[in-house]
Amino acid sequence: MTEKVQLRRHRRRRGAMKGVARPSLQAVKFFEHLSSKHSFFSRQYNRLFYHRLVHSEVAAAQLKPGSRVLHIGCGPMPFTSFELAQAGAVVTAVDIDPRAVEKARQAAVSAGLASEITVLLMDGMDVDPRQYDGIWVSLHVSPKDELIPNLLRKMSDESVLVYRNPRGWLRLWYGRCRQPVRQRVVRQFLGKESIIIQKQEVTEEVPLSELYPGAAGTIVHVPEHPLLSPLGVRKGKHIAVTGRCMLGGPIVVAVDGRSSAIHRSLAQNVHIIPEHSTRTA
Amino acid sequence: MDESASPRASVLLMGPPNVGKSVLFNHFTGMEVSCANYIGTTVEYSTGEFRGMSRDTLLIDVPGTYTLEASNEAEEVAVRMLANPPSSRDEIRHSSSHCEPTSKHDPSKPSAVLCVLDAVNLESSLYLLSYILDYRLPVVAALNRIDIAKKKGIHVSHEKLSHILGIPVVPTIAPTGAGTEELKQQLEKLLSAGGQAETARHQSTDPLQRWKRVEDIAARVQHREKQPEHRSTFDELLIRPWPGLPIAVLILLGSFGLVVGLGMGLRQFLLLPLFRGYVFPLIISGVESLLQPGMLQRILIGEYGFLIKGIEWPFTLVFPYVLSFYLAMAVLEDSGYLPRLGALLDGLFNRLGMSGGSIIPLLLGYGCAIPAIMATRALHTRKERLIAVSIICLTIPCISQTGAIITLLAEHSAAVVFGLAVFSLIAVASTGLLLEKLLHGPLPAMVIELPELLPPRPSVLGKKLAIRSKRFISDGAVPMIGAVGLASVLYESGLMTAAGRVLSPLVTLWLRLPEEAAVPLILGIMRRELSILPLLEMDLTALQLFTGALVGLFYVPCIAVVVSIAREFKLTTALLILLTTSTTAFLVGGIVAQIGGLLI
Repeated sequence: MTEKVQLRRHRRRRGAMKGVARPSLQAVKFFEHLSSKHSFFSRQYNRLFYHRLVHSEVAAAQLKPGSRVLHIGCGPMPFTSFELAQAGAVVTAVDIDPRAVEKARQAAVSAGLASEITVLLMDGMDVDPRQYDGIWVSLHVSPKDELIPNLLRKMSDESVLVYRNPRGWLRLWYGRCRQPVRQRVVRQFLGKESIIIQKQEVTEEVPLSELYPGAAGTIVHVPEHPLLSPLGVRKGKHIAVTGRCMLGGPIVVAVDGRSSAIHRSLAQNVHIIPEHSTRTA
Repeated sequence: MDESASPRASVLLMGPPNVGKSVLFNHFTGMEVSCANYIGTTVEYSTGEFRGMSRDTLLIDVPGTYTLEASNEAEEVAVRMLANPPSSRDEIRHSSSHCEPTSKHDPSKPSAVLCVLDAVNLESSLYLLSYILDYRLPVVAALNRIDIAKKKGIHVSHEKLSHILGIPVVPTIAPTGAGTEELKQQLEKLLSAGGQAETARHQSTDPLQRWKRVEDIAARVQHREKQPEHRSTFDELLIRPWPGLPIAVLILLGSFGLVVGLGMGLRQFLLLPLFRGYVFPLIISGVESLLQPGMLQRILIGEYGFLIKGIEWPFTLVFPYVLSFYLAMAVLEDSGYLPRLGALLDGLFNRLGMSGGSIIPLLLGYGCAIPAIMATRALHTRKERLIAVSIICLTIPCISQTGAIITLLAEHSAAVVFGLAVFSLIAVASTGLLLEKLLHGPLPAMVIELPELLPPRPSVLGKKLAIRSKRFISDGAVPMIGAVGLASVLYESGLMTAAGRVLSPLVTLWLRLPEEAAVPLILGIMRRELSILPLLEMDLTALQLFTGALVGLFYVPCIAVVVSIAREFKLTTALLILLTTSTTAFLVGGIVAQIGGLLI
């Protein structure tokens, strides 16, 4: 599953996303082409990378059997779609690469999942996400900074969004996308993490400690602390997150143009209703 | 307490932290209270004569607070002063944590309050003012920092504010003195009107309602040109690991370079030639013409002659580093960078049992441990304070000692200085890690304001340096001359050699130093730098120098520091720190000497 949806080439931002992603993408594509040809290789590859990954995601997303799932960036060997289908979902897989779509269709047929998986040639930005109960976005899809907020806006209120971020050194290859909403982060094998966002919780309040630079919103709850209210951290105020310090350090915020650093344990109890805005961490 | 009806008026100077109260205080009294671009500079309060008033007036600089809910030490002091201000002048008192019992006498209330408002952060200033107004005392408000507010596109109408609050409001710019004359006139008017203190307790209102009221007032008097944007990207970069961490390293290395380079330059090219060329020949010929050669003459101008070493060491060796250190520190303080460094390092410091805020006392400790110990009062938990104080006493050399170490070692090799710095940093980390495990208590949860980044103002830097130099001469040089004097008496009378002989197995066998190196170990108890300085006069190998400097680094903090720890904590704490530091010094020094001896 070379998960590649190329969305508007001209808007690819950040050095890490440029060019560097290409060789690695080629490598992943190569492996997945291999596995679409050889079933032994395919099984090992699947077991290594996808089986546990998708299972933990399905559990965290509380996906019910019979759900309609959209998979963006399925690639030539759509393991994620296979796993989802085996978990009982009806999958629509899309990719922007015609060759990948062709291979994925053949792979679905030979895996005996042709009736559960529909593969379409489409740009992830153009898919209408409203009719799905769950949306999976592959790691390699770029730029997530545009796709994820777009999906969050359009998807139905009962649905769940799952996407993958790199952890650790992989971050240098693929940009990491963080959304200013309540989310579950599941750490995965080999430098990945899965982000699970329930749309229902998006409009709800979020602890300040879960927000990343670029996020902003309205304060709805502040714990008792002699310094917070004088520094402007009061109910009803507009707050912007400008930094998260390293090693579990404080969250840096600006209220009325005044900057302060708030320890994470306190920030956990400051609740925000975020407004939509994004930036990679 | 004045029992008689004293004609003296007392004016409380109040305001939120970091608003420029101390600058106004200095302006009105001509006194020197330290100021910095971070919160909690005035943990002690000071009083001074209000100059140029027609009536004898005492101005009292109250510690900056955000509220008067008495939720911390500074607020308790402020609340107490509103009811009962200190009455003697020029007194700088340590605020005791005991609340005075309600006096049976009619408490002498302050005649008026001068409340400093921050035009940039009007709401929180008005919040404090609302508490002060509850006391029904005559109040004048200074609307300070209007220049910075204007730059940020915030306009505050002082006329409207004055109308709503019913008190005089004067716009001021404290560093330039703009508006201070009018402030004085308004205060004079208020005092001559005989605004006697009405007796009315402040009513306790719900903080939420109070904030609501204050936000309403602020909205009516304040006009913003544009919506407040968050800070420039550069500012944000400073607190990120990349590139904030390398920038922090560069800034700290740069400061270190400034301290060492400027200090060495001043010593080599200005002070040393001056004293050796002109001052000492004068002293020597003067003493020789007055006294016969003998013990007294040797005490004055002999090997430890206190007119020679007692003047050379403080003025040519320590003083240049005092100047360069406080210049670097003043730049860091005035720019507002330190709270950012604190935020950046908070996560790391949490692992050492401290919050990022303790970077300020730690850095101050490189100047002198005593103000650093005072500054730990701003830290939140007792555990954090204890850890910070232990680190300061054990591993952070004061500037006098640093000057001595640099002079001692730099002439041999810079690598030794670097090695010592590495040892010191390792010791900082391991002390923190160890005490974090040993002491119980909650993890400090820091909330710290990151004030505007401002370019340091030369006038402020100059003033601070002048204060520091004066203070060094009165509090540093004089005791040092005395200690050297005592040392020369001990030395010439032979007592020192006797004591040295007692310590000699430790010194010669374990530390592999010459027998006379016992002398600095005894002197070091009196003043920290004296544990190093006498080594200068001995002919030591590089390893011996390193051992000596290492022992001096970890060795006991000076007697004044021990006393202030005992005052701030308990005598047992002070003694425990004393014991730990000297044991560590001999242990580490001995191990290095033994291992080094095997290798070389």
